[in-house]
Amino acid sequence: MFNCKGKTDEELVSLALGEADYFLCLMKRYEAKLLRYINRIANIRQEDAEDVLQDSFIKVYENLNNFDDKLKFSSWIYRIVHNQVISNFRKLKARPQQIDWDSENILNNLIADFNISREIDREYLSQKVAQVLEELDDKYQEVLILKYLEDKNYQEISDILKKPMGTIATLLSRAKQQFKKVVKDKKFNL
Amino acid sequence: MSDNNVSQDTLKKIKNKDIKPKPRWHFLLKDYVVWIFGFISLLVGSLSFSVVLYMLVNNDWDIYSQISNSLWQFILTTLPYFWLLFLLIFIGVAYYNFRHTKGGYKIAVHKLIAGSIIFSILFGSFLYKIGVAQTMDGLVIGNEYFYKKVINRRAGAWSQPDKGLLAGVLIYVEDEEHVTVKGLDGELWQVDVTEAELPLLPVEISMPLKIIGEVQGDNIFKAKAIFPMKGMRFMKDKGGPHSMLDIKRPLER
Repeated sequence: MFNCKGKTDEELVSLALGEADYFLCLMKRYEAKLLRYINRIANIRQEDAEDVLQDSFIKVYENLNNFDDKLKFSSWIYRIVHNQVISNFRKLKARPQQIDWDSENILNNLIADFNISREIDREYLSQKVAQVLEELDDKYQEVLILKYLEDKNYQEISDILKKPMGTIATLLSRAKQQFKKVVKDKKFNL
Repeated sequence: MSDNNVSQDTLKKIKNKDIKPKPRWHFLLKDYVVWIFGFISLLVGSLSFSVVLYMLVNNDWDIYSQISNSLWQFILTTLPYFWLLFLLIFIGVAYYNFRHTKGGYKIAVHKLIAGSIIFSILFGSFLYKIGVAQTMDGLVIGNEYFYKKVINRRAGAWSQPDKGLLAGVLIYVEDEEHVTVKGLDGELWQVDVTEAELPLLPVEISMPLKIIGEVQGDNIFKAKAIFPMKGMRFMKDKGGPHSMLDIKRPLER
């Protein structure tokens, strides 16, 4: 095993261009995160998710010379995985699955950003929030997943989805509007 | 793959199948092609704008009331739609190319489109100023019918003697009252200029003219007003010494 400790992603990209084993370090760094990301956005079995990840890793390797060091490597690899998932959707005509929004950290962020009352019972709240989020359009879910589940900032989301930052801000703002509308339509007490 | 060790499996696959990173030049070439096509589209858009400007400047603004019912009708009839469409298409192509450059996604759609339009207007105005638009207009005349019907409908609009509009090149001055004009379709017209309002500029042989008046018989036209026809450079080719040789004798009445 090559020594990858202390090396940045960008340094590993340069090294992997000369020696494929360095690419293993990069894959190991992102394997768990990306597999979780694929599972969050794709309605496919675990094995299929792993296949998508492998295809994505191979694409990343083949395109290493195209890595733009003005980007964060994590944004670039998320973008490739995101595109691979979309192309996988097209092939399988699958739909995004029920997303697990139920986590204390995510819930706290959502409560703060979506003006939800903090007085409501946690279990009820997480259940209802999850239901509302499932009702949102895919394009809004996409940015919400990256912001609240993958903890990406506006710049990173812009680089992953290849959309201007202004558009990302608009999508998030519209996601909030749609969230409020669904809460109102479903007569949830949030 | 179910032992959850995607990374190891992927590395094995890379090695077994001898997968290599694509060379850097492959991506650079792709980037350059996108940029070059973007700039070519901008240049074509600018060229289109310069011809639009050329046609608008040389339109019949001075006599629009005599050939149209209203200013709006005149504008709608004589707008250079062909070149405007060309301009729009190439602004669209330029936008598409710049959007697909490496950092193109960071720029908002409206900023990219506004940038392409502003560039086309500025560079197009420069091309107009140095005379490129005039040359361009002359180059697309190949198919005269198409030119008059689609590219420059103003030329077609002036080829309607029955409606009192005649355009052509002065090829022969018979006497002080009669001249011969070769119309855009090549037909010869004897024009009675007795009561015509003449242009301030001296009228010379080979000069493109537009004439308002009425048909008085077979190829006989009585002029009420005669104007030089700007922006119809191609018409000069219709007159000139060779044409004059063809009609040395006065036209028969």
